[in-house]
Amino acid sequence: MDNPPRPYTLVAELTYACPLQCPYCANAVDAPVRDGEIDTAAWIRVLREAEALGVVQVNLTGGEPLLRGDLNAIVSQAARLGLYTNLITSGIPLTRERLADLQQHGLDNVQLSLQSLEPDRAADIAGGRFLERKRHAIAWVKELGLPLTLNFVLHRHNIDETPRFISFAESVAADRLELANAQYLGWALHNRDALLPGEEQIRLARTAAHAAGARLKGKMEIVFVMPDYYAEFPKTCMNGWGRSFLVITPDGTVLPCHLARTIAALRFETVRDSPLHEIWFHSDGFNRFRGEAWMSDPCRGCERRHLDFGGCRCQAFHVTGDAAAADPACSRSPHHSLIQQAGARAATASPVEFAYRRYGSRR
Amino acid sequence: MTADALPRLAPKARLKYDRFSGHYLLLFPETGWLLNDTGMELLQLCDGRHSLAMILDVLARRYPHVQPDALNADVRSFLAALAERSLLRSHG
Repeated sequence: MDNPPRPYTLVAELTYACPLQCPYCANAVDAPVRDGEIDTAAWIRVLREAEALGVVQVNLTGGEPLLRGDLNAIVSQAARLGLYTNLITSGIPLTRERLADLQQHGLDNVQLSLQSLEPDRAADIAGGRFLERKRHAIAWVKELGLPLTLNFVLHRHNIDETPRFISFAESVAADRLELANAQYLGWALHNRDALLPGEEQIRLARTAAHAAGARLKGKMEIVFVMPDYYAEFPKTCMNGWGRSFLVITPDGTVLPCHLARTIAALRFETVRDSPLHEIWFHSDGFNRFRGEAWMSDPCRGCERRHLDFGGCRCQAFHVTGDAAAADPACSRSPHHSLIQQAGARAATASPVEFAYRRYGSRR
Repeated sequence: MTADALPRLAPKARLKYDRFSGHYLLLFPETGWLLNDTGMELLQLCDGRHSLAMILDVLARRYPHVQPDALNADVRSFLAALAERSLLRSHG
Protein backbone atom coordinates (compact mmCIF):
# COMPACT_ATOMS: atom_id res chain seq x y z
CA MET A 1 0.00 0.00 0.00
CA ASP A 2 1.22 3.46 -0.86
CA ASN A 3 1.91 5.81 1.99
CA PRO A 4 -0.01 8.12 2.07
CA PRO A 5 -2.81 6.00 0.60
CA ARG A 6 -4.33 6.55 -2.79
CA PRO A 7 -7.98 5.93 -3.59
CA TYR A 8 -8.57 3.50 -6.45
CA THR A 9 -12.36 3.41 -6.50
CA LEU A 10 -14.94 6.15 -6.42
CA VAL A 11 -18.42 5.04 -5.46
CA ALA A 12 -20.60 7.76 -6.96
CA GLU A 13 -24.03 7.68 -5.36
CA LEU A 14 -25.83 9.84 -7.90
CA THR A 15 -29.27 9.87 -6.28
CA TYR A 16 -31.05 8.10 -3.45
CA ALA A 17 -34.30 7.98 -5.41
CA CYS A 18 -35.18 4.46 -6.59
CA PRO A 19 -38.25 2.78 -8.10
CA LEU A 20 -37.54 -0.30 -5.95
CA GLN A 21 -38.00 -0.59 -2.21
CA CYS A 22 -35.78 -3.53 -1.30
CA PRO A 23 -35.74 -4.04 2.46
CA TYR A 24 -31.96 -4.71 2.47
CA CYS A 25 -30.99 -1.52 0.66
CA ALA A 26 -27.46 -0.43 1.58
CA ASN A 27 -28.51 3.20 1.82
CA ALA A 28 -28.91 4.76 5.24
CA VAL A 29 -32.39 4.45 6.72
CA ASP A 30 -32.57 8.23 7.07
CA ALA A 31 -30.96 9.08 3.71
CA PRO A 32 -32.35 12.30 2.26
CA VAL A 33 -34.02 11.69 -1.09
CA ARG A 34 -33.46 14.26 -3.84
CA ASP A 35 -32.68 17.00 -1.34
CA GLY A 36 -29.71 19.04 -2.44
CA GLU A 37 -28.36 16.68 -5.11
CA ILE A 38 -25.22 18.15 -6.61
CA ASP A 39 -25.51 19.13 -10.25
CA THR A 40 -23.84 17.90 -13.41
CA ALA A 41 -21.05 20.48 -13.26
CA ALA A 42 -20.17 19.37 -9.73
CA TRP A 43 -19.94 15.70 -10.75
CA ILE A 44 -17.82 16.62 -13.77
CA ARG A 45 -15.41 18.48 -11.48
CA VAL A 46 -15.45 15.75 -8.84
CA LEU A 47 -14.56 13.08 -11.40
CA ARG A 48 -11.59 15.16 -12.53
CA GLU A 49 -10.44 15.63 -8.93
CA ALA A 50 -10.90 11.94 -8.20
CA GLU A 51 -8.80 10.94 -11.21
CA ALA A 52 -6.08 13.35 -10.13
CA LEU A 53 -6.05 11.65 -6.71
CA GLY A 54 -5.49 8.24 -8.29
CA VAL A 55 -8.98 6.85 -8.80
CA VAL A 56 -9.29 4.42 -11.73
CA GLN A 57 -12.69 2.82 -11.11
CA VAL A 58 -16.05 4.55 -10.84
CA ASN A 59 -19.15 2.76 -9.64
CA LEU A 60 -22.19 4.73 -10.70
CA THR A 61 -24.80 3.84 -8.16
CA GLY A 62 -27.52 5.20 -5.89
CA GLY A 63 -30.45 4.69 -5.36
CA GLU A 64 -31.05 4.21 -9.03
CA PRO A 65 -28.49 6.09 -11.14
CA LEU A 66 -30.73 5.87 -14.22
CA LEU A 67 -32.99 8.42 -12.55
CA ARG A 68 -30.32 11.06 -13.17
CA GLY A 69 -31.07 12.79 -16.45
CA ASP A 70 -27.41 13.73 -16.85
CA LEU A 71 -25.98 10.22 -16.72
CA ASN A 72 -24.61 10.46 -20.28
CA ALA A 73 -22.59 13.53 -19.38
CA ILE A 74 -21.23 11.88 -16.24
CA VAL A 75 -20.27 8.67 -18.07
CA SER A 76 -18.70 10.72 -20.83
CA GLN A 77 -16.50 12.63 -18.44
CA ALA A 78 -15.43 9.41 -16.68
CA ALA A 79 -14.58 7.83 -20.03
CA ARG A 80 -12.63 10.92 -21.11
CA LEU A 81 -10.55 10.54 -17.96
CA GLY A 82 -9.91 6.86 -18.72
CA LEU A 83 -11.85 5.69 -15.68
CA TYR A 84 -13.47 2.25 -15.71
CA THR A 85 -17.19 2.87 -15.40
CA ASN A 86 -19.58 0.36 -13.90
CA LEU A 87 -23.29 1.18 -13.90
CA ILE A 88 -24.87 -0.44 -10.84
CA THR A 89 -28.55 -0.52 -11.63
CA SER A 90 -31.88 -2.16 -11.04
CA GLY A 91 -32.46 -1.89 -14.79
CA ILE A 92 -35.53 0.28 -14.08
CA PRO A 93 -36.27 2.54 -15.90
CA LEU A 94 -34.29 1.63 -18.99
CA THR A 95 -34.80 1.44 -22.73
CA ARG A 96 -32.59 -0.19 -25.32
CA GLU A 97 -31.94 3.24 -26.86
CA ARG A 98 -30.81 4.73 -23.58
CA LEU A 99 -28.47 1.84 -22.91
CA ALA A 100 -27.00 2.13 -26.42
CA ASP A 101 -26.51 5.81 -25.72
CA LEU A 102 -24.65 5.13 -22.48
CA GLN A 103 -22.47 2.64 -24.33
CA GLN A 104 -21.71 5.30 -26.95
CA HIS A 105 -20.67 7.63 -24.16
CA GLY A 106 -18.16 5.06 -22.94
CA LEU A 107 -19.83 2.88 -20.33
CA ASP A 108 -17.63 -0.17 -19.55
CA ASN A 109 -19.82 -2.56 -17.56
CA VAL A 110 -23.41 -3.02 -16.46
CA GLN A 111 -24.20 -4.57 -13.09
CA LEU A 112 -27.87 -5.44 -12.85
CA SER A 113 -29.60 -6.57 -9.67
CA LEU A 114 -32.28 -9.25 -9.45
CA GLN A 115 -34.32 -10.05 -6.37
CA SER A 116 -35.68 -13.50 -7.26
CA LEU A 117 -36.65 -15.46 -10.36
CA GLU A 118 -40.07 -16.28 -8.89
CA PRO A 119 -42.28 -13.42 -10.12
CA ASP A 120 -44.33 -13.16 -6.93
CA ARG A 121 -41.36 -13.38 -4.63
CA ALA A 122 -39.43 -10.86 -6.74
CA ALA A 123 -42.35 -8.45 -6.47
CA ASP A 124 -42.60 -9.02 -2.74
CA ILE A 125 -38.93 -8.20 -2.20
CA ALA A 126 -38.63 -5.26 -4.61
CA GLY A 127 -42.01 -3.82 -3.65
CA GLY A 128 -43.27 -3.95 -7.25
CA ARG A 129 -43.43 -6.08 -10.42
CA PHE A 130 -40.13 -5.47 -12.19
CA LEU A 131 -38.86 -8.93 -13.12
CA GLU A 132 -40.02 -8.90 -16.76
CA ARG A 133 -38.53 -5.47 -17.37
CA LYS A 134 -35.28 -6.63 -15.85
CA ARG A 135 -35.20 -9.59 -18.21
CA HIS A 136 -35.55 -7.18 -21.13
CA ALA A 137 -32.76 -5.02 -19.76
CA ILE A 138 -30.50 -8.06 -19.48
CA ALA A 139 -31.23 -9.00 -23.10
CA TRP A 140 -30.34 -5.47 -24.26
CA VAL A 141 -27.03 -5.51 -22.37
CA LYS A 142 -26.04 -8.71 -24.15
CA GLU A 143 -27.38 -7.64 -27.56
CA LEU A 144 -25.31 -4.49 -27.37
CA GLY A 145 -22.23 -6.48 -26.41
CA LEU A 146 -21.75 -4.79 -23.06
CA PRO A 147 -20.16 -6.84 -20.28
CA LEU A 148 -22.80 -8.00 -17.80
CA THR A 149 -22.57 -8.58 -14.07
CA LEU A 150 -25.64 -10.06 -12.43
CA ASN A 151 -26.06 -9.34 -8.75
CA PHE A 152 -28.34 -11.24 -6.42
CA VAL A 153 -28.50 -9.99 -2.85
CA LEU A 154 -29.12 -13.15 -0.85
CA HIS A 155 -31.23 -13.43 2.28
CA ARG A 156 -33.52 -15.91 3.96
CA HIS A 157 -36.29 -15.60 1.36
CA ASN A 158 -34.30 -16.13 -1.84
CA ILE A 159 -31.06 -17.89 -0.88
CA ASP A 160 -32.55 -21.33 -1.61
CA GLU A 161 -32.92 -20.23 -5.25
CA THR A 162 -29.14 -20.05 -5.62
CA PRO A 163 -28.82 -23.03 -8.05
CA ARG A 164 -31.48 -21.42 -10.23
CA PHE A 165 -29.70 -18.04 -10.10
CA ILE A 166 -26.59 -19.79 -11.36
CA SER A 167 -28.33 -21.53 -14.28
CA PHE A 168 -30.08 -18.29 -15.17
CA ALA A 169 -26.77 -16.39 -15.23
CA GLU A 170 -25.35 -19.13 -17.43
CA SER A 171 -28.32 -19.02 -19.79
CA VAL A 172 -27.97 -15.28 -20.35
CA ALA A 173 -24.15 -15.57 -20.61
CA ALA A 174 -23.40 -13.17 -17.77
CA ASP A 175 -19.71 -12.35 -17.47
CA ARG A 176 -19.81 -12.20 -13.70
CA LEU A 177 -22.26 -13.39 -11.09
CA GLU A 178 -22.37 -11.94 -7.62
CA LEU A 179 -24.19 -14.00 -5.03
CA ALA A 180 -23.84 -11.58 -2.19
CA ASN A 181 -25.48 -12.07 1.15
CA ALA A 182 -26.96 -8.85 2.47
CA GLN A 183 -24.59 -7.05 4.79
CA TYR A 184 -26.53 -6.17 7.89
CA LEU A 185 -26.23 -2.41 7.92
CA GLY A 186 -28.55 0.30 6.61
CA TRP A 187 -31.99 -1.05 5.76
CA ALA A 188 -30.76 -4.63 6.10
CA LEU A 189 -29.94 -4.06 9.78
CA HIS A 190 -33.37 -2.51 10.23
CA ASN A 191 -34.87 -5.70 8.73
CA ARG A 192 -32.31 -8.15 10.07
CA ASP A 193 -34.73 -10.47 11.79
CA ALA A 194 -36.78 -10.75 8.60
CA LEU A 195 -33.75 -11.36 6.36
CA LEU A 196 -30.87 -13.18 8.03
CA PRO A 197 -30.71 -16.76 6.66
CA GLY A 198 -30.04 -19.78 8.80
CA GLU A 199 -26.55 -21.29 8.74
CA GLU A 200 -27.67 -24.40 6.86
CA GLN A 201 -29.24 -22.30 4.09
CA ILE A 202 -25.94 -20.51 3.68
CA ARG A 203 -23.95 -23.74 3.64
CA LEU A 204 -26.06 -25.16 0.80
CA ALA A 205 -25.90 -21.97 -1.25
CA ARG A 206 -22.16 -21.67 -0.78
CA THR A 207 -21.61 -25.27 -1.83
CA ALA A 208 -23.65 -24.68 -5.01
CA ALA A 209 -21.77 -21.47 -5.77
CA HIS A 210 -18.36 -23.06 -5.29
CA ALA A 211 -19.21 -26.06 -7.46
CA ALA A 212 -20.49 -23.77 -10.23
CA GLY A 213 -17.47 -21.51 -9.88
CA ALA A 214 -15.17 -24.48 -10.51
CA ARG A 215 -17.28 -25.78 -13.39
CA LEU A 216 -17.57 -22.40 -15.11
CA LYS A 217 -14.02 -21.26 -14.45
CA GLY A 218 -12.84 -19.12 -17.34
CA LYS A 219 -16.38 -18.51 -18.62
CA MET A 220 -18.15 -16.75 -15.80
CA GLU A 221 -16.67 -15.39 -12.62
CA ILE A 222 -18.80 -16.30 -9.61
CA VAL A 223 -18.41 -14.40 -6.37
CA PHE A 224 -20.11 -15.64 -3.21
CA VAL A 225 -20.19 -13.19 -0.31
CA MET A 226 -20.89 -14.55 3.17
CA PRO A 227 -22.85 -12.64 5.76
CA ASP A 228 -20.22 -11.87 8.37
CA TYR A 229 -22.70 -12.92 11.05
CA TYR A 230 -21.52 -16.50 10.55
CA ALA A 231 -17.84 -15.82 10.02
CA GLU A 232 -15.06 -16.22 12.57
CA PHE A 233 -13.40 -12.97 11.59
CA PRO A 234 -14.80 -9.71 10.25
CA LYS A 235 -14.75 -8.63 6.62
CA THR A 236 -12.00 -6.32 5.41
CA CYS A 237 -14.56 -3.58 5.13
CA MET A 238 -13.87 -1.15 2.24
CA ASN A 239 -10.32 -2.53 2.26
CA GLY A 240 -9.76 -0.44 5.38
CA TRP A 241 -11.02 3.01 6.31
CA GLY A 242 -9.74 5.68 3.91
CA ARG A 243 -7.33 3.29 2.19
CA SER A 244 -8.72 2.76 -1.29
CA PHE A 245 -12.38 3.79 -1.48
CA LEU A 246 -14.09 7.15 -1.72
CA VAL A 247 -17.86 7.37 -1.54
CA ILE A 248 -19.61 10.55 -2.67
CA THR A 249 -23.26 10.85 -1.73
CA PRO A 250 -25.91 12.58 -3.87
CA ASP A 251 -25.48 15.82 -1.90
CA GLY A 252 -21.71 15.73 -2.38
CA THR A 253 -20.66 14.47 1.05
CA VAL A 254 -17.38 12.55 0.83
CA LEU A 255 -17.25 9.37 2.91
CA PRO A 256 -14.85 6.45 3.49
CA CYS A 257 -17.84 4.06 3.19
CA HIS A 258 -21.52 4.21 2.25
CA LEU A 259 -22.76 4.44 5.81
CA ALA A 260 -19.97 6.34 7.56
CA ARG A 261 -22.34 9.26 7.96
CA THR A 262 -24.54 7.16 10.23
CA ILE A 263 -21.79 7.06 12.86
CA ALA A 264 -22.72 9.74 15.37
CA ALA A 265 -20.07 12.31 16.23
CA LEU A 266 -18.18 11.93 12.96
CA ARG A 267 -18.22 14.93 10.65
CA PHE A 268 -17.70 14.73 6.93
CA GLU A 269 -17.11 17.46 4.40
CA THR A 270 -18.74 17.92 1.04
CA VAL A 271 -17.27 18.64 -2.36
CA ARG A 272 -18.88 22.07 -2.04
CA ASP A 273 -16.67 22.87 0.98
CA SER A 274 -13.25 21.63 -0.06
CA PRO A 275 -11.30 20.05 -2.89
CA LEU A 276 -11.37 16.24 -2.86
CA HIS A 277 -7.63 16.15 -2.27
CA GLU A 278 -8.03 18.11 0.99
CA ILE A 279 -10.83 15.87 2.19
CA TRP A 280 -9.03 12.62 1.36
CA PHE A 281 -5.73 13.54 2.99
CA HIS A 282 -6.60 16.02 5.72
CA SER A 283 -10.20 15.74 6.92
CA ASP A 284 -10.92 14.46 10.42
CA GLY A 285 -13.54 12.05 9.11
CA PHE A 286 -11.07 10.25 6.84
CA ASN A 287 -8.23 10.26 9.33
CA ARG A 288 -10.32 9.12 12.29
CA PHE A 289 -9.90 5.37 11.66
CA ARG A 290 -6.84 5.32 9.43
CA GLY A 291 -3.86 3.35 10.64
CA GLU A 292 -3.90 1.65 14.04
CA ALA A 293 -3.68 4.40 16.65
CA TRP A 294 -7.45 4.35 17.20
CA MET A 295 -7.56 0.64 17.96
CA SER A 296 -8.10 -0.75 21.41
CA ASP A 297 -8.04 -4.36 22.61
CA PRO A 298 -8.54 -6.95 21.19
CA CYS A 299 -7.55 -5.33 17.85
CA ARG A 300 -4.49 -3.49 19.12
CA GLY A 301 -2.39 -6.59 19.69
CA CYS A 302 -4.09 -8.83 17.15
CA GLU A 303 -2.03 -10.35 14.36
CA ARG A 304 -5.03 -10.00 12.03
CA ARG A 305 -5.22 -6.21 12.29
CA HIS A 306 -3.21 -5.86 9.06
CA LEU A 307 -5.67 -8.15 7.28
CA ASP A 308 -9.04 -6.75 8.32
CA PHE A 309 -8.13 -3.36 9.84
CA GLY A 310 -10.52 -4.04 12.72
CA GLY A 311 -13.45 -4.80 10.39
CA CYS A 312 -16.43 -2.56 9.85
CA ARG A 313 -16.65 0.70 11.83
CA CYS A 314 -20.35 1.14 11.07
CA GLN A 315 -21.15 -2.34 12.33
CA ALA A 316 -19.14 -1.65 15.49
CA PHE A 317 -21.10 1.55 16.03
CA HIS A 318 -24.56 0.21 15.26
CA VAL A 319 -24.21 -3.03 17.20
CA THR A 320 -22.01 -2.02 20.17
CA GLY A 321 -22.58 1.75 20.26
CA ASP A 322 -18.83 2.42 19.96
CA ALA A 323 -17.39 3.03 16.48
CA ALA A 324 -13.85 2.40 17.78
CA ALA A 325 -14.68 -1.03 19.21
CA ALA A 326 -13.65 -4.23 17.45
CA ASP A 327 -16.18 -5.27 14.81
CA PRO A 328 -18.58 -7.50 16.80
CA ALA A 329 -18.58 -9.96 13.87
CA CYS A 330 -15.11 -10.94 15.14
CA SER A 331 -15.09 -13.97 17.41
CA ARG A 332 -12.51 -12.12 19.55
CA SER A 333 -14.81 -9.15 20.15
CA PRO A 334 -16.28 -8.92 23.67
CA HIS A 335 -19.57 -8.04 21.95
CA HIS A 336 -19.60 -11.07 19.66
CA SER A 337 -22.56 -12.59 21.50
CA LEU A 338 -24.79 -9.83 20.07
CA ILE A 339 -24.06 -11.16 16.59
CA GLN A 340 -24.41 -14.79 17.65
CA GLN A 341 -27.81 -14.08 19.21
CA ALA A 342 -29.09 -12.66 15.90
CA GLY A 343 -27.83 -15.81 14.15
CA ALA A 344 -29.57 -18.02 16.70
CA ARG A 345 -32.84 -16.12 16.17
CA ALA A 346 -32.49 -16.62 12.40
CA ALA A 347 -32.15 -20.37 12.83
CA THR A 348 -35.51 -20.58 14.56
CA ALA A 349 -37.15 -17.68 12.82
CA SER A 350 -40.83 -17.25 12.43
CA PRO A 351 -41.92 -14.91 9.62
CA VAL A 352 -41.29 -11.22 10.20
CA GLU A 353 -42.69 -8.55 7.91
CA PHE A 354 -40.34 -6.38 5.88
CA ALA A 355 -40.13 -2.69 6.45
CA TYR A 356 -39.72 -1.56 2.85
CA ARG A 357 -37.19 1.04 1.91
CA ARG A 358 -39.48 4.02 1.61
CA TYR A 359 -38.50 7.61 1.94
CA GLY A 360 -40.60 10.70 2.22
CA SER A 361 -43.37 8.97 4.14
CA ARG A 362 -43.48 8.36 7.85
CA ARG A 363 -42.41 4.93 8.93
CA MET B 1 -4.48 -23.82 -23.69
CA THR B 2 -3.16 -25.28 -26.93
CA ALA B 3 -0.37 -23.72 -28.97
CA ASP B 4 -2.90 -22.71 -31.67
CA ALA B 5 -5.22 -20.90 -29.25
CA LEU B 6 -5.74 -17.22 -30.02
CA PRO B 7 -6.07 -15.57 -26.61
CA ARG B 8 -7.54 -12.11 -26.30
CA LEU B 9 -8.72 -10.02 -23.39
CA ALA B 10 -12.34 -10.45 -22.35
CA PRO B 11 -14.54 -7.45 -23.23
CA LYS B 12 -14.97 -6.56 -19.57
CA ALA B 13 -11.22 -5.94 -19.12
CA ARG B 14 -9.42 -2.80 -20.20
CA LEU B 15 -5.82 -1.59 -20.00
CA LYS B 16 -5.00 1.83 -18.62
CA TYR B 17 -1.65 3.52 -18.20
CA ASP B 18 -1.25 4.60 -14.59
CA ARG B 19 0.86 7.73 -14.25
CA PHE B 20 1.09 7.28 -10.48
CA SER B 21 2.97 4.00 -10.67
CA GLY B 22 4.39 4.26 -14.19
CA HIS B 23 2.86 0.88 -14.98
CA TYR B 24 -0.23 -0.32 -16.78
CA LEU B 25 -3.34 -1.40 -14.91
CA LEU B 26 -5.64 -4.12 -16.12
CA LEU B 27 -9.07 -2.89 -15.06
CA PHE B 28 -12.20 -5.01 -14.74
CA PRO B 29 -15.35 -4.83 -12.62
CA GLU B 30 -14.65 -3.95 -8.99
CA THR B 31 -10.88 -4.17 -9.19
CA GLY B 32 -7.73 -4.20 -11.26
CA TRP B 33 -4.21 -5.57 -11.46
CA LEU B 34 -1.01 -3.58 -11.58
CA LEU B 35 1.03 -5.09 -14.40
CA ASN B 36 4.79 -5.32 -14.62
CA ASP B 37 6.46 -4.64 -17.97
CA THR B 38 6.50 -8.24 -19.13
CA GLY B 39 2.87 -8.76 -18.08
CA MET B 40 1.97 -5.74 -20.17
CA GLU B 41 3.95 -7.01 -23.17
CA LEU B 42 2.21 -10.35 -22.93
CA LEU B 43 -1.23 -8.72 -22.72
CA GLN B 44 -0.53 -6.53 -25.73
CA LEU B 45 0.02 -9.73 -27.68
CA CYS B 46 -3.29 -11.19 -26.49
CA ASP B 47 -5.18 -9.54 -29.33
CA GLY B 48 -6.95 -12.55 -30.85
CA ARG B 49 -4.52 -12.57 -33.80
CA HIS B 50 -1.41 -14.01 -32.15
CA SER B 51 -1.54 -17.70 -31.28
CA LEU B 52 0.03 -18.88 -28.04
CA ALA B 53 2.91 -20.33 -30.12
CA MET B 54 3.45 -16.95 -31.82
CA ILE B 55 3.33 -15.12 -28.48
CA LEU B 56 5.98 -17.43 -27.04
CA ASP B 57 8.07 -16.92 -30.14
CA VAL B 58 7.90 -13.11 -29.95
CA LEU B 59 8.78 -13.07 -26.26
CA ALA B 60 11.60 -15.58 -26.73
CA ARG B 61 13.22 -13.25 -29.29
CA ARG B 62 12.76 -10.27 -26.97
CA TYR B 63 14.22 -12.12 -23.98
CA PRO B 64 16.93 -14.36 -25.45
CA HIS B 65 18.58 -14.84 -22.06
CA VAL B 66 15.47 -16.49 -20.55
CA GLN B 67 15.29 -20.29 -20.77
CA PRO B 68 12.48 -21.31 -23.18
CA ASP B 69 11.00 -23.68 -20.56
CA ALA B 70 10.94 -20.94 -17.93
CA LEU B 71 9.39 -18.49 -20.38
CA ASN B 72 6.77 -21.03 -21.40
CA ALA B 73 5.89 -21.73 -17.75
CA ASP B 74 5.67 -18.00 -16.90
CA VAL B 75 3.45 -17.18 -19.85
CA ARG B 76 1.15 -20.12 -19.20
CA SER B 77 0.81 -19.34 -15.51
CA PHE B 78 -0.05 -15.70 -16.21
CA LEU B 79 -2.61 -16.73 -18.83
CA ALA B 80 -4.05 -19.25 -16.37
CA ALA B 81 -4.41 -16.52 -13.73
CA LEU B 82 -6.25 -14.35 -16.26
CA ALA B 83 -8.50 -17.23 -17.29
CA GLU B 84 -9.27 -17.95 -13.66
CA ARG B 85 -10.83 -14.48 -13.38
CA SER B 86 -12.59 -14.90 -16.76
CA LEU B 87 -10.41 -12.17 -18.23
CA LEU B 88 -9.38 -14.11 -21.31
CA ARG B 89 -11.16 -15.43 -24.34
CA SER B 90 -9.41 -17.90 -26.58
CA HIS B 91 -10.41 -19.31 -29.91
CA GLY B 92 -8.83 -22.10 -31.89
